[in-house]
Amino acid sequence: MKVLLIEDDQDVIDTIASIFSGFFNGVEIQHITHGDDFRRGVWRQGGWDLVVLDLMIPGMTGFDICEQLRSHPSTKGIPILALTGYDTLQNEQRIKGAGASGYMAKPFEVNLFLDEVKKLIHNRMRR
Amino acid sequence: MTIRKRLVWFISFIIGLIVTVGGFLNFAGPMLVGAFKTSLDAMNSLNTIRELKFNTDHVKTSLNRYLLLGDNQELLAFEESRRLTENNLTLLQSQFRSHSPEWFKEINSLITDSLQASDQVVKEFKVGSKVNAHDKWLNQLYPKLQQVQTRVENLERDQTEEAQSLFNKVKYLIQKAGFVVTILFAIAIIFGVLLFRSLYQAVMTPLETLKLGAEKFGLGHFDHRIALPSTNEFGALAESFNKMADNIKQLQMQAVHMDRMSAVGQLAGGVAHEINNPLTAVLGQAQILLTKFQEDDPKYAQLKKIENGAIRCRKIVRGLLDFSRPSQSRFEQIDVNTIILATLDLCEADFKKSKINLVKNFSGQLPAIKANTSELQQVLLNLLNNAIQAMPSGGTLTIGTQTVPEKSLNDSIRKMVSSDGPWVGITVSDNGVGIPKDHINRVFDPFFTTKDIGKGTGLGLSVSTGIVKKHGGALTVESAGLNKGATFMVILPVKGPVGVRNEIKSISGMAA
Repeated sequence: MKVLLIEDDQDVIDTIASIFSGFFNGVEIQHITHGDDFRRGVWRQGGWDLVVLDLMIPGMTGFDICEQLRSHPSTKGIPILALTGYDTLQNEQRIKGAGASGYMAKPFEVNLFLDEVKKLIHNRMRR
Repeated sequence: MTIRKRLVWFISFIIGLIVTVGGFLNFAGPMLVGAFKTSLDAMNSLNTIRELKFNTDHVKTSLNRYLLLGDNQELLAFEESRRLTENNLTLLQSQFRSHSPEWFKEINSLITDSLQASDQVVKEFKVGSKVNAHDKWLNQLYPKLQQVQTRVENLERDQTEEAQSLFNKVKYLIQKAGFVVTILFAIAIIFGVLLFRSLYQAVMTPLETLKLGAEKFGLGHFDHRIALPSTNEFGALAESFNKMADNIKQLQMQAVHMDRMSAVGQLAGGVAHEINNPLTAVLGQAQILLTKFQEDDPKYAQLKKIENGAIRCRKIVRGLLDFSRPSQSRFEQIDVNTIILATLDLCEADFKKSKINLVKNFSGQLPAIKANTSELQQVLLNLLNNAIQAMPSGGTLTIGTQTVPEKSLNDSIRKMVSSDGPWVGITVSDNGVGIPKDHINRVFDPFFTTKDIGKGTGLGLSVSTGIVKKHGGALTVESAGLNKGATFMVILPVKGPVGVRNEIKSISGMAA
């Protein structure tokens, strides 16, 4: 399984990485920590099973990133799980409007995160 | 005494004074004039009597000389003084006006007699025997004229005395009237000054107090109130001023409160976001590790403590975020009683644990209101938690609902709500620790708490206020003081906040 993790906080990156490596077999995680990083466009290669996206990374907003992911042919069908430390109804509506498949507030319960990830991957496979 | 009364007193006094002085002059004036005239008459008759004395004397001497010398010049002198004497008598009579006194009749006949006798003597002297004339003169006329002279002299003396006494009477009356007028004026001036002083003080002293009070208030002493007895118009004015001051003070407190709320909101938002990332790591790592230990492992319990701590932190940060974010909430028709019952279920365990007796006073005819269920539940939960914490050794919690019609909302609450009625009121009362007087205005301030560390963020009531305000309602508190319990009241408009009504309309319009 290939996961693209767009997140700037190293502790969060490590935690999410631990969750994936602890509960899934053979997960490959690539991460982007800065807007400039994202603009280099490595993500356009596609082939991701899931994108985990923090709404606030330096250099670019999560909303713009989400829209770009959705508009590029190689990534437009990939489930995007949005995360934020600033949980508001507007943020949720806006990121879902930009194309996010799931939304979770930080800090989250590990099992709820796992449920959400499984649900998103499962939904994609069904389609 | 009211200013109006004082003015009426003052004017009445002036009118009374004019009437008194006028009445006195009306009574004393004619008396004075009468006395003065009588005195003047007496002087005039005295003058005439003096002339009469002179002329009768002249009659005597000129006649005597004529009879001795036979000089015609003396005859002329006699005739002249005789004529003058008669004139004097006529004048004297006219001076007595209506009635002439007894002595006048007597002296008149005496003089007229002696004048006629004189004429006879003159005639006798001219045409008859000179000896006879002399004889008559010596034996009859001279004593008669002598008698006239004595009589007139006596009269002059009497009349002088009378004129003097009449003059004294006038003098006395003038002195007396002057005295009375002086006394009256003195009284008038004293009373006038006293009344005017009281009027002046009744106006100027409160005016000064009002001026100073307004200046002090204007300089920002919003607690300053004007203390004037409510007995007159200034008291009423001071009362109006104080009411205005109360309103300004309340508005000022609201402004300060809102300032603080927005500052705290910004701060909380920033802090919450920063804390959430490390907290994700703490909670996530703890929960990952938890799956690797058996529940009976001592490390499991330790990890569980980390997890619980993280969850508690999350709750606090959640509260800060709720406070800071201007969230949009969905408004729907809800039944308040149902939501209260659902919320009470959440607290049931706490009620049992704290030995709290629950009393429900629900109105059976409560209208459905337009509100956000989860937010309303958050408010209720907060009030219930506060009530539970206020009764650590048990007590009675009373929760009630009622319909509040437009007219029955009290004024101070009416000012706080941004919507029109009718409203639904929810009251949550406890008989616990109560709220001291000096805390009651601060309980809605962000971060104000009296609870032990870890038991409250001090944000519950300010978050609740925010929610209720967003609903177009108000949250109020009453407490009789320490250990006398507290009653919180939530007022919510049945029709929801003004802005939301339009919003719902437009949404349903889009749907159509």
